[in-house]
Amino acid sequence: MKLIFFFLIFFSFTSLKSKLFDAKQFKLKNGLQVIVIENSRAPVVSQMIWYNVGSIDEKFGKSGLAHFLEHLMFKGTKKYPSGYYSKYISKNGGTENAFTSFDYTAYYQIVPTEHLEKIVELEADRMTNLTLTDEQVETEKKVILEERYQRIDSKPSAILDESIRKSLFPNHTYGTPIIGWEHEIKALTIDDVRKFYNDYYNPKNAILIFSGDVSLKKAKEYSEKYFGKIKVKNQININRIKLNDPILRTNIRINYDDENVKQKIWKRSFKTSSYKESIKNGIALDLGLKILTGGSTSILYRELVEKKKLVSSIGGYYQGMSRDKATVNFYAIPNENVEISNLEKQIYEIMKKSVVNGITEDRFILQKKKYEHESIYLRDSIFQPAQIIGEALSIGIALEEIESWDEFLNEITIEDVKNELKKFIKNNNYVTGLLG
Amino acid sequence: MIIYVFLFFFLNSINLLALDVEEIVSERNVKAWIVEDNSVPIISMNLTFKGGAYFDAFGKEGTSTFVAALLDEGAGSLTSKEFKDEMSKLGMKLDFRSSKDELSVSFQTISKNKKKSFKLMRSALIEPRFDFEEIEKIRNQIISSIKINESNLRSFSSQQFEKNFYLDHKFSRNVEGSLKSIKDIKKTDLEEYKRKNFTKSNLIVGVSGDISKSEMKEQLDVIFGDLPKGDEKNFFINGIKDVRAGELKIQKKSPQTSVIFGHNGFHRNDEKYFAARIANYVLGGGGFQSKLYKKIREENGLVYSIYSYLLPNAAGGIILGGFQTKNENVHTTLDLLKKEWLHIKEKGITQEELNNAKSYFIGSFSRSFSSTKSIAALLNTVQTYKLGIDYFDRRSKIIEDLTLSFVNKVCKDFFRPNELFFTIVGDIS
Repeated sequence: MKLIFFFLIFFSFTSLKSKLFDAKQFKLKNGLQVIVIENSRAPVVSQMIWYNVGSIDEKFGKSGLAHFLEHLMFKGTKKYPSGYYSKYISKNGGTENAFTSFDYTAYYQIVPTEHLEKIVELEADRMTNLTLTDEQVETEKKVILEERYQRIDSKPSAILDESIRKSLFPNHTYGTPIIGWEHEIKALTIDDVRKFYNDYYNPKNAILIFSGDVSLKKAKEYSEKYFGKIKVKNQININRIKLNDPILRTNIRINYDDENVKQKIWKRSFKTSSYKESIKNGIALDLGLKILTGGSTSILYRELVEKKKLVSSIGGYYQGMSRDKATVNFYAIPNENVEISNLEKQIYEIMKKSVVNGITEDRFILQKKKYEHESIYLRDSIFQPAQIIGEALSIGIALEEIESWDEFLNEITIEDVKNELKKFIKNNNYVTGLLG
Repeated sequence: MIIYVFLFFFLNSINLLALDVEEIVSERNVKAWIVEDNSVPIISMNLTFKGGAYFDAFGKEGTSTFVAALLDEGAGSLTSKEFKDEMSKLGMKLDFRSSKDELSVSFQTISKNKKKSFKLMRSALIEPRFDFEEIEKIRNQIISSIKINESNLRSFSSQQFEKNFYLDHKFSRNVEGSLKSIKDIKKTDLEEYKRKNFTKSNLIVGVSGDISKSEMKEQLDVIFGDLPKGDEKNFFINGIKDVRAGELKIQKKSPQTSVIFGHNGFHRNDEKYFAARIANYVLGGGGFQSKLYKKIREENGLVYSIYSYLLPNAAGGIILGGFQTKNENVHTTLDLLKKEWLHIKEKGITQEELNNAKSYFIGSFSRSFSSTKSIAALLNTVQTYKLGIDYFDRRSKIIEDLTLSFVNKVCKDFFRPNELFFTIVGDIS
């Protein structure tokens, strides 16, 4: 008896400790998944809704549609006309925004606790009752074109990035810019938007996340009261065509230069496996890349910035949270008169050597420790946990898997890391870009 | 029912006492404001040395940026590599930057490693090494950064605005320096900057997190106790008197034109400051609510973003704004902007706008309390502008007491369309 008692305490202690966010979840009858992350340190709460739809779902010729709809979601409903929702949030001291990615579209508000119920009502309302006029659509199209000119066309490095991505994903819709191609944005119509909205904006295709000063009880009450009454519009099942890219067999180099570019920047993007394919492998790759090229204590930084002085800065990171293939992105800022071919050769050689003798036990343990520290820092925010959970769930990772991230981490050995890096070094699916 | 009432009051009192700020002064006379918060085992500290790039010597612009960038590049007996590895082991984070009027450091650590972290922090401030290798490395990085900023339309136009708007005031100089000045900075310049500017008399500290007041008091001496006392009057920053008005056009090949605009404003502790802030919220500040946003983006689709804000820097406040639009739309956008500027000057704002702005500012304050990092930053800001430790209690009343006639009187003086200075960078030929 005593033993069991002891065991129970021990068990509950470890299980508590290993839960990253201690989030609760439940599902409404109409299929809406709801997540609650309680944190009552400040009288503030955030609501996020993640739709499992992004630029990945756009038909050919309709690029920019998911993002266009994101803008138009602020244009009001019959009950709450244009401007009502934003004004409500603002006059109560809240803040809001939205973002669109390849795989998802998300909307969020942060408000003082006492205004939560109203924003749940408003968010539920616009999931299903959006009204749009031709004029709204045409004016917003101009705004989006300006956004494109500002974010991409007047930024040389963004022009380069767009082109790198298209070459890395020549067949998959991941190669299409989220904001869309200029000529296709211009051709989008109100009917395109309405159809997209009707197809994808359903409780079944969304995840609602409350984070901050909210109880599970309140979250249940409000979400059932407002979202619960929404019927799944069309009983459609979203069938995504599973697109793949051919293996990149040619050496792809992209160069962009214009009179405004004053500093050369080298970039290389690799196509690789995602966390969705294997969380364990994903973490092992992330760990290895952080040792290799994550920040100013990494091996590549020490070799190329500090010892060989070929670049003023270098870095690389794994973007593994994606429904389909993931990417690893490298960049370096070469010093004057540095031969790019020499730089590339050096990067390759150092990576190859590091897998053999650079990934030391010390570095491995330290990197694991950094993960632990990061998970503590995450809890100092009400917004970030919601952001992480929302992104992971949208691409198809389960809450339990996110919560036990540390367990995956604990299982990983130094050999796992080396194996992932070995695979990575042999990966020829990459595109190289040069600015300037 | 009784329970309900009790809960109601209990909740309310939490709301009211959300921020329990206390001033602590160490034995060696280091002052800090602190909010204890044990909900997460971390400590956040925000510290600033007044001055920043303002005290860069002429011809050595960028010195303060250089010094800030070297703060985690080796100190005391630790080389750059050893210092950074130690930080990683402790889970300690150090971010630093210099601006026109202060050099700021954001420090965070895991509370169980606090003692070692504070010692490391002390070492960075008291005995930075400024080793030759690291100086050259950072010099190279600042040069790259200057070139990258010059390549970027928005940052280039901001720099051109500052360079010309502030005339011969020191604020006209680039915080990062120029390619020439960065090349001219020597180790002695860095040491000199540190010696003169890292003193107790121009230091401001805000702390929040998992540490008791009494312990923090002791630790303040560990970190800052050995800093020289300094003399407050050496850190005087000259006020901005004259600024430029009119238009400056710069040709740059680009699909869009970037416009940065502004004119003189109020000091942060001017009694009219909050009225101006409220008025600007209505004009160009309030997210999706401002008139500029509604008129220029929502109704006319001319821009993706347009904003204005009050920048209350130490030399005196200014109001600053910006937008980017297709080259051929610049004149239309500028006309609409000037019209709104004139309208708010002459007509002021409405009672409804005032009410909404008031409730925004009262309600939004609690968002600053949601992380130890943001609380530490807030504690620093309130000290920087000398708003008083009772500001956290007074703030709501300051806002509530603003009357429509007062705000609109302030609008009349504050918004001066004829004094606006525009930097217009794009394909304007």
